[in-house]
Amino acid sequence: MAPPIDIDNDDEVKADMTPMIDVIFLLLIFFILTTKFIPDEKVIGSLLPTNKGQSSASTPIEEPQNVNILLYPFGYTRGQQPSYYDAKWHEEGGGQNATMTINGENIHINGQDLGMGGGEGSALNAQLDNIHGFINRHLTNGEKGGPRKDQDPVIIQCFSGMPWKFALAAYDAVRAYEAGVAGKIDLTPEDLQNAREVVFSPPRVRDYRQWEMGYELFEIIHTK
Amino acid sequence: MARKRKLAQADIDMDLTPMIDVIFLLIIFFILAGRITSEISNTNITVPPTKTAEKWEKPDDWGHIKIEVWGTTQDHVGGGEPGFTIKMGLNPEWHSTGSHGDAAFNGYQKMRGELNEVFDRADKYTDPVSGIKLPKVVVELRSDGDTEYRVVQEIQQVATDTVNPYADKQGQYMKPSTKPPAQMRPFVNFQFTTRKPGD
Repeated sequence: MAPPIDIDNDDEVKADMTPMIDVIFLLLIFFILTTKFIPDEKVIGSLLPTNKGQSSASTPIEEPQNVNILLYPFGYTRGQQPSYYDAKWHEEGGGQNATMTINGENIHINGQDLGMGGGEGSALNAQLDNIHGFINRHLTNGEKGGPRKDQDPVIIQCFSGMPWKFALAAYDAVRAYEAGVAGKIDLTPEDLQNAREVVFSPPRVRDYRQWEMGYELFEIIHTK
Repeated sequence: MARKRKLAQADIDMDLTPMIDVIFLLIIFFILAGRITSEISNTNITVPPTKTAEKWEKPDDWGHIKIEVWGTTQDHVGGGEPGFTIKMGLNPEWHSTGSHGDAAFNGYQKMRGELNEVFDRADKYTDPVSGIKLPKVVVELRSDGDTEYRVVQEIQQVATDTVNPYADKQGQYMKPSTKPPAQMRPFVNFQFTTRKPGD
């Protein structure tokens, strides 16, 4: 007869834990190094117009008292025909850099610098400071005082083919100016209702006529 | 002397279990945290930077829907079929391709259909200026910084119900909406997603 197997083996209770701890430390270091925490995104509030009733929609686009912020591709200048702008747009494009115009004065915005990155002294901050300074100066000149609701509406007229970041940068600068004059605008719907009217240009209907983009460029570049 | 030697002996036999517990917890945390951040936000989108970006918490009695968008409606320089993508809440992504016909406006139409349902379910308030019933819903529009302005603008127009994304009798799209105000389903309270430079 074979001797009975000894089940109560004392050696198993004292298993060596060192290899397991080694592996776990390696895993821990791996996950610490590979995990990237994405910073929280933030928001800017806006009250959009509907074309029936909401105050801003009733404001005609070419009213002289509006503050028009024009955004169109850099290198496009006044005094050409829609066909010229259309051909230029389809051949060269150029939406990566923008010209911003207020009251006939232009600045150039570099779209690449308006991308990622940031922080003190960066190219992004330089672009934002440039935009904010420009808009701040023009809005200060046109300041009328009184409740923010009764100020001249600001209309951001951006060419359809431009990247969204240019329009949002302009919107941001107007909001920053308003916060400087009237204090912080909370993002609650009630507060937005009492803030100055800042809207993106009213609907520009797609009609697919010849030189459609050229006509749009023509209108934006020649807006007063 | 004798006492000191006894202490040193105890150190060698210390209990490793609490340390292993803590390390396991740390590992589990990093595994989960790493996954969660990549699931929440769509990585096709890099939101543009702004100085006035704020952290925001919605009012308690308000709803919140999130619309994500990236792409273009044009094929000017370099060719390529224009196309853009809209993602709304938990729905699958809606792709629009080309510049003409249903395929080009598919994303807007799906979005409008979903917005109609959200509108019908939502609590309403009466707009003091126009008297129109508006939903107590904040729409968060998370657009890529390089998304074409027209796409973002048209989403706003479709959401405010000022243009019609469906074909009319002449087969034309994106014409001004002809609904009487009482039948409109506009969303007007918007948040544009952005980030602080340097974040």
